[in-house]
Amino acid sequence: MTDLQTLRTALSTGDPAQDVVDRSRQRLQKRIHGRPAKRIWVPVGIGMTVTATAAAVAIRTPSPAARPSSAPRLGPASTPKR
Amino acid sequence: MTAGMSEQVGDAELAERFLRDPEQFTEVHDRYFTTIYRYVAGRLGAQAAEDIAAETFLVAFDRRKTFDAGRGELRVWLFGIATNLVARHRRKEARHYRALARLGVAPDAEGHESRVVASVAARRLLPQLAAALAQLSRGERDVLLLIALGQLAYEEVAAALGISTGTVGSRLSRARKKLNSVLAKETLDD
Repeated sequence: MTDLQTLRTALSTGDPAQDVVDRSRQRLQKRIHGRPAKRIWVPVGIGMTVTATAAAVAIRTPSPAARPSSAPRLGPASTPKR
Repeated sequence: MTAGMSEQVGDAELAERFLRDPEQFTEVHDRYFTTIYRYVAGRLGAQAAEDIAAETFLVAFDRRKTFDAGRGELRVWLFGIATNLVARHRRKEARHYRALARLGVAPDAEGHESRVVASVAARRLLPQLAAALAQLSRGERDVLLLIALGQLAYEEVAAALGISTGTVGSRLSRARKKLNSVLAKETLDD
């Protein structure tokens, strides 16, 4: 046995298990079919977050008509009873 | 006319096919995954090999337009990509060799019993070989292991690494000298 054969035999780990081959093939097929996750889902995620935040702000902020006035109301209701 | 599943076309024809139809690139994987896996596993261990061998084919797919059948075989091109990926894991490779050197026992080979029995002598040397490998330069180790594990010829190693055949020869010569000093010492100790 030559030194190179000795090295090859010593370092040999055997063939990959079938599930290892299958997983690798699946990864390749995903790449082939193109799933540019970062390019599509990141902007979509950002857009959804912005929309949700804007909606939450709109809900929590009452419209001027609904906002209670800080000024004292005039009229009978505001007149203290004696 | 399309080829049947059993028909094995040459690299140039296969390259034409996967450039026309990316799905055909799975044929490259089916042909060469085991070969690339064995090479990477010999350098980094089986656990890391799974990921890096798989990544080799993803990188190859992304770069498929750069493959030139006139300059070499697909197998050689893939070995070049795998070697570059292994280089990113230099620390892991060094750790792997140190672990093998400490371990003193080789991992079990999957295979026929007689082959395992025949390899006992070589495996007994693994700690010393691993220690010697850890001391080689990256260039020496790439050349040595592409030849020993990948079973590439000088010209193929040169094509895979993008260096001259003269450089392949000189790196291999230095690496073997260091390796043989370990083997000779072991023989003398026996």
